[in-house]
Amino acid sequence: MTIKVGEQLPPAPPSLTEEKPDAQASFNTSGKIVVVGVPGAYTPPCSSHVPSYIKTYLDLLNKGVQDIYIIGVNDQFVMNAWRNHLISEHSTAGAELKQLHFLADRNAEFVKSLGLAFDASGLLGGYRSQRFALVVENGIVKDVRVEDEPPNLTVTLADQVLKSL
Amino acid sequence: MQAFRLANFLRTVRPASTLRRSFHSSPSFFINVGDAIPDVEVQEGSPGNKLSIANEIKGKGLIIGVPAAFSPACSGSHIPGYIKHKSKLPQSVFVVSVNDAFVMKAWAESIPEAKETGIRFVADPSGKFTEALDLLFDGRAIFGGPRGKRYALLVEDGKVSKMFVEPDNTGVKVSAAENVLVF
Repeated sequence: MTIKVGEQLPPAPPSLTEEKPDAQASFNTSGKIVVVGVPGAYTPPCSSHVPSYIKTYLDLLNKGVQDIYIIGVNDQFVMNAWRNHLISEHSTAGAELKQLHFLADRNAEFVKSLGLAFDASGLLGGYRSQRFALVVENGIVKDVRVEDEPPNLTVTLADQVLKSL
Repeated sequence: MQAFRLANFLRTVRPASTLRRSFHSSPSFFINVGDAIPDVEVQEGSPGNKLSIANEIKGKGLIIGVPAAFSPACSGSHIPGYIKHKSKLPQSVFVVSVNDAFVMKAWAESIPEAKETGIRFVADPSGKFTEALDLLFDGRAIFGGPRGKRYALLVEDGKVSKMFVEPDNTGVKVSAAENVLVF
């Protein structure tokens, strides 16, 4: 069952981590957040998808977004390396982007709980996340955007999400 | 009497490879010195770029397995150790990990001087190549799935000439360049 508007965002399971492989992530449930799913760290479309959030970071915060979570079915080492690479490539020097989080959904448990996983075995070796963006307010899903095909970059780009806020 | 006891004892001791076959639905293959490198597809640079290390390795070769691209030990000491000793590297060197092709490519590009050495970084996203070597371990707690042990295989004429597999799967000891490249 795919997550729907009006439903509660499922809590982060222990296998969804941030910063360290054993540090369980947690979503800010008292405010406005954006949760973004990507099929694969370092895959070409994802490496333009996430920069749209880096470039639009301040605009999103000015519209009341408190935290942005980028989620991929990758291990935490890969997510961290990718985060550092993208931030150094796309943001102004010294920018900290404290409210941009890179979470590792290492066994796809979280994205499966949203009904947004797909079998990418042939290409990438296992289940991956579809490309999606959710706007969540006080823990309740307000907007669900999912690309028809994982490589597409349309409704889930940051400027599209910004327009809707 | 002694011969009878010995025969009975031998009947109860089965080779590890037979035991393994009875637990797997498909025949498994335990790599040993003298065995041929499994002819199993891996990917290089992108998922569409498929190759078989068994077909690519020419003359003397080296296959280095790592548990995880971008993890501290793999990036900080294991692979850099081989780059440091590049003058001793054989003709064909492959680094393999259970990661996808895009991650392997990005990792290779992030390691200083890796490109210059001609070391090829290949992806085993489904773990099939590593499984054929019987060198997978359960990495679910940290990595979300099975991963390859840290190992080094010296190869000559398509066959394993020497094997170095870390007993704890992830340490950097027996498979470190200093230990492997003395031959």
